[in-house]
Amino acid sequence: MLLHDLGKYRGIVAAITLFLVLDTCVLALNYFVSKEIQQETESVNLAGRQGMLTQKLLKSLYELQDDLAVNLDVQENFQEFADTFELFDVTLVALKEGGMVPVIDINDAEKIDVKPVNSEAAMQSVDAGLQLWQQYREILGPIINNGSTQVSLLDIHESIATVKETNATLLKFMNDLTRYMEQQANEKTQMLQYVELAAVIAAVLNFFVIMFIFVGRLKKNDEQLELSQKENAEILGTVKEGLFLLDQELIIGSQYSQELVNIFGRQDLDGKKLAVLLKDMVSDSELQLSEDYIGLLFKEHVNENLIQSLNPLKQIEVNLLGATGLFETKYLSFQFNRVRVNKRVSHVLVTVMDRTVEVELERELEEAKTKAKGEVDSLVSILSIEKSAFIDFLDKASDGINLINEELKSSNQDHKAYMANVVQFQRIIHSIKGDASALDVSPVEKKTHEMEDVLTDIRNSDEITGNSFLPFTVKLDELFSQIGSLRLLSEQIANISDQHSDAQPIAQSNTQSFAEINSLVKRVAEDENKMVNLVTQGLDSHHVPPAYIRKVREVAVQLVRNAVVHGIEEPNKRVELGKSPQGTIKASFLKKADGNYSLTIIDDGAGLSVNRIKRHALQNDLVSEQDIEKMSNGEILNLIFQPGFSTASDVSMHAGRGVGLDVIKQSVMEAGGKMKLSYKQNKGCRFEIVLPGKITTTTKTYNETDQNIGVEQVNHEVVNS
Amino acid sequence: MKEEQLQVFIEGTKYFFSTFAGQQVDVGVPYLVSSDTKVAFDYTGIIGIAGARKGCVYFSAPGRLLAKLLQALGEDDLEDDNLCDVVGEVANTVSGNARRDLGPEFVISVPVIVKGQLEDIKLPREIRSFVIPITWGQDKAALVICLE
Amino acid sequence: MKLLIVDDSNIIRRKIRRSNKVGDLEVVGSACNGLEAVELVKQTQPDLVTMDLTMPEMDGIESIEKILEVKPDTRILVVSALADKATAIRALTIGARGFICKPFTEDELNDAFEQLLEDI
Repeated sequence: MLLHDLGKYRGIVAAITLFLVLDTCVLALNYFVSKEIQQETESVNLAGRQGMLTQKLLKSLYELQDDLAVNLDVQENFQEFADTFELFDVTLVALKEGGMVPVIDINDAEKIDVKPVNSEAAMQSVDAGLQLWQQYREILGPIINNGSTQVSLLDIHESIATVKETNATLLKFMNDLTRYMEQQANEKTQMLQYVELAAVIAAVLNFFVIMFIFVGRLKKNDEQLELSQKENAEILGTVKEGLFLLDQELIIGSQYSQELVNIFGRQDLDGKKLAVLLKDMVSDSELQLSEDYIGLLFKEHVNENLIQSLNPLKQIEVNLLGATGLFETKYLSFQFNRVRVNKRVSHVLVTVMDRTVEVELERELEEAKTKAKGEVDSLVSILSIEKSAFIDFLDKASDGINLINEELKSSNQDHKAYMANVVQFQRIIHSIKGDASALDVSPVEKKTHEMEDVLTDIRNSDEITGNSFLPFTVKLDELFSQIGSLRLLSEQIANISDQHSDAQPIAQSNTQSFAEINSLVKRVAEDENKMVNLVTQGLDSHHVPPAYIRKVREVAVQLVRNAVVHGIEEPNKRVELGKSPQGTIKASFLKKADGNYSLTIIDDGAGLSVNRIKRHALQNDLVSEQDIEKMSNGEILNLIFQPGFSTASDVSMHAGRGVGLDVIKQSVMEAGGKMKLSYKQNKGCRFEIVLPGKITTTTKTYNETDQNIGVEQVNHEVVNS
Repeated sequence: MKEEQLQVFIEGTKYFFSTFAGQQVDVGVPYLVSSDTKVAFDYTGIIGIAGARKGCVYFSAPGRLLAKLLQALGEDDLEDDNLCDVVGEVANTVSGNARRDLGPEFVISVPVIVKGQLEDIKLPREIRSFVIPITWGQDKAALVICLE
Repeated sequence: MKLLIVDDSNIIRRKIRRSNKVGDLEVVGSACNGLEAVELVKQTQPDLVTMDLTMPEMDGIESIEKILEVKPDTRILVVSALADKATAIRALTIGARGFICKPFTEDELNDAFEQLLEDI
């Protein structure tokens, strides 16, 4: 079980274990054998002492004999003799049978445990010694037993004779014994050396085995590890995403990609808490949410798909300190994936992507859009507008907005009705735009221009649904607000001017109602790079009846603008045609002899071109090719009064949206008037609007168009000369 | 009020009907009403909005449409209580779903159900409401969004 | 398996009850606010709870916390109109097991129940 767990380290652990076991065995052997050798050395020493004791025994006998001869006290030498005898006896018996032997002399308390000799030769020497010693015992034993008081010179003489005779032999036996025992001890020592040598050899072999096999294997492993680390490093250094692992404590792992460093602009991520990384980037509540979210990843029971759909860091905007020392705004996208080990979530792999470039592109697009939508309320120009004209404008715009809203409310849900709505709205919005342009109320002009864009989009979409109008309704709301705030502004301005001066005479104000046509011509001409001189006659409140002021102004503004945009050529072109570079537009209002009123707008521009009208009508799908072949020039000219017709080659603020003449036509018809158009190629164009002398006004400025009223009810007089 | 934000409510309404009733609704042309004008059918479920934006969102529908909706939901009890319940649920779901885009700061109340006219509902004076007409089969209803 | 259905709308409660997967379960009760839900959990000891979030008296989040105090092994599926991420993360963090948004299809509800019943 344990070995199994060791995996690839099993071999080396086994080898080291073997080495240790071997070492232990040798050590144990060494210990025991050494101990034995020590014992044997002691025995050898004892055997050596026996030789000395034989000599000492004889010497003590002579001394005893000397003492007895001179009648001295024998006590001391007798004791010496007895002790020597006793020590030799004990030692010899112990060498034969084993036993305890005193170390220094017979009375010594310290004793050595002597083992019986076990080699053949030594045993023979011991046995021979014992046999000889038996004689010593028989002669010397009784003398010692009788004690020193009983000892006689005769006994000693006899003893010396025996001992002298055999002493050399006994000494020889004892010396032999010593030699044999020494030999045995030497053999053991040698054996021990052999065993140790063998052990050392085994250890060395083991070492080489470990060296060559396992070190080789380890080296190979290391190489593989190094390779995979290198590959790891290459991958982490190259990937375009910030990669790192998070553990359950939300601590960042030691390995992370270089891109992560680049993204966060800091190196010290290893072992940091995620919160440290995110702290300065997201709000506290977002941080808490993110931590809770990652917590869910470690909750096994929460479904992976559900989790993925909840990622709160899918895209975040962060401000990071860049390399330049300045804060940079980045858009980061975090992705979290569970990392499973043994089926349990061990870590969360975090992928951080820098989406700044994409998001910024999106933002730029968005910004460009908002800028286009932007309400740059440059209201300064409004201050210069004559008050009643401004109020008039606001009233008319409000009427228009309300009418549109009513139409939105009651619109039928089919494509045709929607289409009719779009056309009608275009007309109303265009008219508000015209007025705004005339008065130079640029915010409204911009807003209505945008609304025209929206309407064009709706018109061009394959299928119009109720929902298609949503962007238009939103803009209508904005226009509503704009008009509201303009009204508020005009009231405030009125309050101010009321405080400072008396009300201006009405007549003057009405004259000024038409004055803005001049500034309009100037502005439009500038925008179109044209030179235009406007000559007006009778366009003032002395000549225009009050009931017609709004209508005449509206129509005059549209027609004069059309004349600048479509009629008058660019100065170069005019010079080529032999005309003066500056074009002239004459706008006059007069009461005719028959009591009717006449508004005439004459320009010395290009006139009308039947071919151009044809081409545009075909391009804008107003008529089919077959139909147009059958049409007379007069009928073709009538096309310019159709909704959706435009002769301007590009769409600008000032014209060319396919509404214009149809608006005028509508307006004239409402008043029960007539419209005449004549032109001469390259010479100019003349519009005459005749309004009835007996005024029958409708209260509504905008009427639901009766779709049955066609062009034929408008009286055109086409002069082709 | 931004177009995208209004679209969130419109999509929410369409999704409610397509998912719960299995049938599409037609969205009509949106228009504006001033705060003193209330668009009301027989039953109206009103959700008060607090937090980052203030105001209300309400769904108003005739009894017949709600009865049909109940049937489409598999409900055969078409009593008054259930009609009130379901009109509130539409308003609640559409408003709740809007948090997907408007975030948790778009705080919604539990639905208030009103039968008949909405005289007692006070809306901020200066705000116009967006009315989104809804057509489901023969019946018309409206989603009204009035937010600052 | 005992199921408790919590939603302030009777229609939704009945719709959940009618769904396929719920057919195999024993519906032990239904509550129309969070407070009632906690009481019913004490009484009926359900294994599963479906929980609305926007409710009068006590909202769903508070109710989930209380229910898990009373019976920690309750498996709670949140069924709510609140579609923002923060709400879902909050509900799951305090111990709900699943989250689906209203309006839901029959399949979505069945899948959610299947996940809820996993490893039982």
